[in-house]
This record gives sequence, structure tokens and C-alpha cells, in this order.
Amino acid sequence: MALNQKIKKITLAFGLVLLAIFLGSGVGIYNIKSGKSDSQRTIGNWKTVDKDKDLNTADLLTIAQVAVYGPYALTKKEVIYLSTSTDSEGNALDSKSDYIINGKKLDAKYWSITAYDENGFLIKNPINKYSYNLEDVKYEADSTSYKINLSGSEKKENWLPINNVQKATLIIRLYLPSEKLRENLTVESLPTIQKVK
Amino acid sequence: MATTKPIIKKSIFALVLVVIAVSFYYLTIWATPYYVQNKFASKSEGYVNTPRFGDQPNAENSRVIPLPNPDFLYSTINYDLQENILKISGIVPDSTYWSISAYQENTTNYFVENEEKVKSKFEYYLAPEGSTSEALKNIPKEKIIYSPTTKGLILFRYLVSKAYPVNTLAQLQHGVTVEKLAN
Repeated sequence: MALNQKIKKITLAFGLVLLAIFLGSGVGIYNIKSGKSDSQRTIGNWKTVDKDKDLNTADLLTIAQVAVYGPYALTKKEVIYLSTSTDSEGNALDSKSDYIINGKKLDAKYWSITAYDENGFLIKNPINKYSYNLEDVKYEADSTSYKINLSGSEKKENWLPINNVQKATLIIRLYLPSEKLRENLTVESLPTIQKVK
Repeated sequence: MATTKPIIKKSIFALVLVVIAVSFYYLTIWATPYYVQNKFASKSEGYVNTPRFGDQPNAENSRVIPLPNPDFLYSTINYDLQENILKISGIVPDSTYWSISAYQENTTNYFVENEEKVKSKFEYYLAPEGSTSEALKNIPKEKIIYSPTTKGLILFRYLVSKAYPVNTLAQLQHGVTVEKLAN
């Protein structure tokens, strides 16, 4: 009887240790997948690394998230990355809707806006167009502002296709940003995304 | 006294369980980047310390590493400095963005230079941190990249632009050489 009790206790203890391991690792994986961390900063609907932090010195969770969802990123002095999966109202981007991305030239050596699918890969589309950058976007008459048509259906110009995706994500890359832009990244300096249909 | 002993035992065991759970939480998020790097490196098996030249990413040819930039040509060198120091050299475009960056085994960036600093040609020596190799004697410090980990990745980015269309850039891209020197 005493032996049975002992075996029961050892089994229970072993089970609880396994549960602790499973729980610890599970919460770790959940937090990585959540995409939220202490090193994150939100500017309107865009997310980027916190002002006082950087990707190579960030907390362990941020490093793990970057490794899984956007590996081999560079530090802020070289590139600023901004991401969003919502429009400016905070609603998830829908591939069946039409959006206008309204923006102005950004003070960086090179900048671009790229669309990705739910797995972070480029979206197959009939015009093989995945992004717009400072050189290939068609500017408005003022030569500074632009309107990009983010949509799953064909548009005449500046069409950034997001056809047949469950979830679309946009990434802005600012390579060699000016110090002024690095220090003053605000909602006003970033493009807006308005749903039009 | 006899009743408090089991309570103390249970409390200590509960504390041990919490410590185990917290430890495995941190172990998971610490180990994930190493797992990712090893997974990507395993796709380049047989190409260690050898440059690999990628095509311009599109929806079909770029399905391994998330968030490829479709405006870039990428080249990579999966390195292992256990036995060798690497001499990496090539030519830099003069009017489009170019960079060489180095990533340690947990995928964090520890070195980057771009075309604003490096003009015309580049020559770097990649060595493990603390290396006293004879091969590094008489090499200027700014040409030596010390890797915090034995394994890692060197990544080249070339911006496709009006000044540098894909074909022109591809010539520069394929001009990168890696020479293995004794460690």
C-alpha cells in the first residue's frame, strides 16, 4: 500500500514537472507568435522598434520574433522597418477591398512599400509587382506625394496587388534614413491607408 | 509540527515547478533564433564558406526566408570559422545602395557597411572573436570583422535601380570571392 502511494506521488510529481516544462515553452511560443514585445513602438497603425532600442540589443522576445518573422534585419541607423496589417482606422486589410495609400517622399536614401501574404512572402499577381519605391512610384503633380492603389483587383496605375491572401501585411523600409527622420518619425510623416471600397 | 512539514515540502515543490516553467520560457525564446539560423543554414548544406548568389526575389523563387525585399539582389555566405578565416572581396556599385552585413548564430546583426563608406572595392577578413591568427597580421583593423560566434551569415544587399538594372548588378554580385585562410 505504502509502495503504491509512493509510486503515485512520484508519477504525479513527474507529471507536474512535465506540465511546467510544457507550460513554460508554450507561453514562450505563444508570446513569439503574438508579435508583441516591450521593444515595440506604435505610430498610428504602423509598428516599429522602440525609439531607445534596436534590433541587435533588444530583449530576447523581440530577437526571437524578428528571427521567425523577419530574419536578418539591420539596425536602425541603416534601416528603419515599419509594418502594418491594418488600415489607418485600425481594421484588418482585406484583399477583397480597395485601399489608397497616401504618402509623401521620405527622407531616406531609398524607401519602399512592399506587400506580403500571411506567411511573409511576396504575393503572386498578374503584373509581378510586389512593391513601390522612390524610383518607380508614380508621383502626383507636386512630384512629392503619391497614391498607391492597394487592392486585389486591377487598377490603372500604382497598383499594389493583394489578391487571394488571407492576411496582407505592408512593410515600409527606410534605408539610410536622415537623422531628422530617425528622430521624428510621426504619424504625419508616414503614409495613411484609407479604405475606399 | 507534523502538519507543517508536508506544507513546506509542497511549497518548495511548487516553487521548483515555477522555476522550471520560467526557465523553459526563457530557454524557448533564447533558443528559437538559433533554431531558425540552423534551419536556414541546413538549406545551404554543402555551401559553407562559399558565396551563394540569389536572383531578384519574386513570389515563386523566394519562399524560404520571410520578408524578402523584391528590389534587392541578395548574396549569402553561410560561414563556419572553426577551421578557417575567410577573406571576402569584391566590387561595390557606386550609385545604388549596397551593403555587406554580418549576423551571428542567433541571427542578430553585428556588422554592416554600405556604399557610402566603402568605395569601389572591398576586402574583409572574417575571423572568430579573439582570433590571433597569423593571417590577420598586417591587416588593418577596419578590414577585420570579428564574429561573436563561430557560425553565422554574411549577407550582401544590392539595390536594383535605374542606374543599376538587374543584369549590371548581377555582374558585380557574382564578382564576390571567398578565400579560406588558415585559422
